[in-house]
Amino acid sequence: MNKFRKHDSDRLFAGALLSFALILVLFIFVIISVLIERSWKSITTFGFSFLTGQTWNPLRHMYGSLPFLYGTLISSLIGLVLATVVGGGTAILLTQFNHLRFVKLATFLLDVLATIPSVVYGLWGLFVLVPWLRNTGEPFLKATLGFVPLFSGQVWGVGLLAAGLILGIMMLPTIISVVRKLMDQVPQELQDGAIALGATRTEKVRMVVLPYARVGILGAVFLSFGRALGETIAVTMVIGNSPTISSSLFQPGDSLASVLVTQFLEASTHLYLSSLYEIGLVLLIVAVLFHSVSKFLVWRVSERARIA
Amino acid sequence: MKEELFIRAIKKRKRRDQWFFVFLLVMGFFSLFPLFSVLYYVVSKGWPGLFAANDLISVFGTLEMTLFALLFAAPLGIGLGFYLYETRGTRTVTVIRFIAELLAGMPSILVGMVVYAIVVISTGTFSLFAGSVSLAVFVLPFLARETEDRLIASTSTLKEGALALGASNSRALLQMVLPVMKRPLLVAVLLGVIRAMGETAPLIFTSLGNNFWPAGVFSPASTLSLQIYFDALSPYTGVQAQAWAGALILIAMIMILFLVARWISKGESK
Amino acid sequence: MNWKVTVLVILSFLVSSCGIPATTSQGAVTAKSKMMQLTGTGSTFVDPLLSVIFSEYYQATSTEVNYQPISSGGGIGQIIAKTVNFGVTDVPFNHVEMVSAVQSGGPIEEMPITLGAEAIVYHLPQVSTPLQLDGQLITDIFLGKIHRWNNASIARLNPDVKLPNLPIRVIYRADASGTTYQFTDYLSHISPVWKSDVGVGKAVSWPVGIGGKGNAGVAMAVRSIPGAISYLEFSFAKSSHLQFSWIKNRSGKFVGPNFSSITAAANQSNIITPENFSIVNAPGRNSYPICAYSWVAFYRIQQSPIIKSELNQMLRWLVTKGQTYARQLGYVPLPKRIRQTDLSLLRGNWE
Repeated sequence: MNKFRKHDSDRLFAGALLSFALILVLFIFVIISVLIERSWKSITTFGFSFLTGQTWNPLRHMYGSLPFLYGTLISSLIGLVLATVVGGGTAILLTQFNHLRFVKLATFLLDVLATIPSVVYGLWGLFVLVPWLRNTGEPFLKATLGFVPLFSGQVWGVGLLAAGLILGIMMLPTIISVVRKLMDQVPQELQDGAIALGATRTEKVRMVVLPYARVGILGAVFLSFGRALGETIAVTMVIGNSPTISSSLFQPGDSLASVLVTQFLEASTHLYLSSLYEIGLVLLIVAVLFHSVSKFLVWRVSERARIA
Repeated sequence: MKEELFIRAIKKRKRRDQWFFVFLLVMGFFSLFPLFSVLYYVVSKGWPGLFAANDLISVFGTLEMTLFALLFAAPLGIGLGFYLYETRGTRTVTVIRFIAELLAGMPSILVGMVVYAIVVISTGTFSLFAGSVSLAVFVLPFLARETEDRLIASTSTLKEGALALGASNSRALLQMVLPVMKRPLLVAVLLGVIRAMGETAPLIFTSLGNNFWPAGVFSPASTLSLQIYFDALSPYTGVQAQAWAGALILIAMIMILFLVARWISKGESK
Repeated sequence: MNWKVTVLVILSFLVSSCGIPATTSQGAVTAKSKMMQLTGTGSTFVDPLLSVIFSEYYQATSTEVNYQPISSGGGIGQIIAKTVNFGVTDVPFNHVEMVSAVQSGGPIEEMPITLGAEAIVYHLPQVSTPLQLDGQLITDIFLGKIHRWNNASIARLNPDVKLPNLPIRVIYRADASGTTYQFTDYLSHISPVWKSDVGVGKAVSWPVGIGGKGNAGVAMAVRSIPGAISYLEFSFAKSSHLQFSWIKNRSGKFVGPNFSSITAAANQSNIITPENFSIVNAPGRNSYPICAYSWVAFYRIQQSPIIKSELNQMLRWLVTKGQTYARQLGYVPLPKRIRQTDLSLLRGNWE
């Protein structure tokens, strides 16, 4: 009797938990189906050319998402490079040189950094970073590296570079914390072994720690990249909102998320609105793709750690 | 001679080690510099414009919307976290887990679009309610993951003990694990509140903004984040100052919650 | 820590925070106005005027009108989506938009609510007298054919001005904007090249420059970027202390935007309807060439009789008493004949 009741309550409990999971499935189903349903007109009108079209011109009913895709990827890539170098360096500093007294404080401050909202970064970017880029940063880059097409052309302040810098700052806390976690997983015996063989700390990092954590770091990088792709408000405030494709990082651009902010509520014809929903669908696919890849990579590392 | 070469090589390696250390210090500096710069400007530019009448409307908008959102999201997210924890390792759950990851990786602005398409259109108005719904969907996967992580971190032996003593699975979770998990879960919820508070993008499509107190739950509402965004794009210095003031209030609120969350979890670990 | 206590605290806080608005917002708030709040969205062109008008309207009647300026496209789009009580746009609904609106909620009423001008604003601290520009020059600048401020064709029109050797930075509206419509309409009147290459619309494909969000976002960008040039509703130019140019009108005279030059331009067209609304490039010696009416749009059939009467009252106030605030802000009160058409619309068809 007692046993029977116990079994019963467990079933009820499991059922209750499962219902939570089903609600989640419902959410995702609704989100994806609404995006597909609303963008159907655009999908059937433009087909694949929606992704390759370079012109976004509501007046002529031409909707191509390539400039937004380009702006999204390039600005995220700039942010990623910066965040990987700076964040990776910081993570090494905090794990491998952890006798330093400020490690605890730095960890706390990085946690604080992670809580600052996107819109505040946008505000800071608009009034502090962009004027600095316009008056000092970009003219300097142009004077020193101007022969590279990346750093040529008119200086605006706002643009892909500004958006990339902001994204880089926003990615830092994630990259640092994931990389730190991965480096902590490197077996201590291996590290001690390297030191015992006479390696300097630098050599230990280069030959033991980094190779061990490589795949996981790649995962962290993809994870941050996926996040950056969907970052909206801060990017919208500094990217320049110009749907053009240009080789120079100084030039204004536009991203998938920011064109939604500036135009979604404003679309007054069916095809226009439908195309914006399709922009959302493209953004979803790109972001989810990178998110899944990163999760897979991080999972592989922890799996390996468990086996070892 | 050979010895000299050897020593020189060692010196070279040492020097390289030192240079690497300097490089790392510079990287560490770059990591923290933005934080100080942001905080410096938010405080120095936000201070003069504090206590404007309009801020109050946004502060309450932010609080109400976040609280409503967490009323939806906290039970759901925690329940989901328990589900993920309970079904770890089983094959059927990988689908659910993948879907939870999908939602976690989804840009928040898409949630805003879908809530607009469903809630705003069907109720015929932008509203505080629609804003709360979008924030709830936004923090849900975060809460689930935090809950699961905290369960894994602190309770597996506790639960095993209860099971060994003959408790049913549900009893073990509800009567043994849940009481112990109160504080960690509260911390998870607080972190969710912090994330929801600063979110802006989905609110543009769902709660629109309001120059007055919202006339009810089904009425457009302003939040601090919306106010910062709109005011920042103004040409008038007075209005821009309000954006900074809004940012100062928002960051202060977030910092308080953050410190409370840390304080609670510290008390936990003692 | 007790769960029940926590929940109670949260709940009581929610309840209290819902209650606070009714008690602390300025003065006495009647029950009626707390239940009733009109929501409108749309044009940023008229935002400076509407924010004054609605705040005065609240003082006078304690009816709250929440106006959120997104852009004219937003006014039209959200009327079609039926998410607001009224929309404001600087361009009446075009045929496609009208069809969508009718399908969505029946026939639309549109009426002019104010008259304003667009200034060509720029950021050149070295230049103290207003620049003189003509339509062709403005077209060339926005087509990206002229790159620097000391270009010979700018110098020819401004012989007495020492032009700086600065790059020209074009700024345009990133959203679907009525201000853009009126500006591109003007350029198309001037230049066949513009008409065929870019065209007339709320959102066009710009050959050069960066986009700002709303009139406010553009004003902010021009203020902060040296060498910038853009088109902006006059009130924004005035209140954010931006420099603006004089433009050569059809009679060959250089005129700046002001009360008399806008009025002169508006007086050239007696009949204004949603089908025939353009007053850009008006003839007349003193006419300013880029002027426009702003329109309010709402559904003729309203589900709620309360909203209908509140909306009617508000719009009546807007086109009568509200017009007195126009001049001080850089707009022009509606000409009497148009005000009368508006009132007869509100009285007759829509009562």
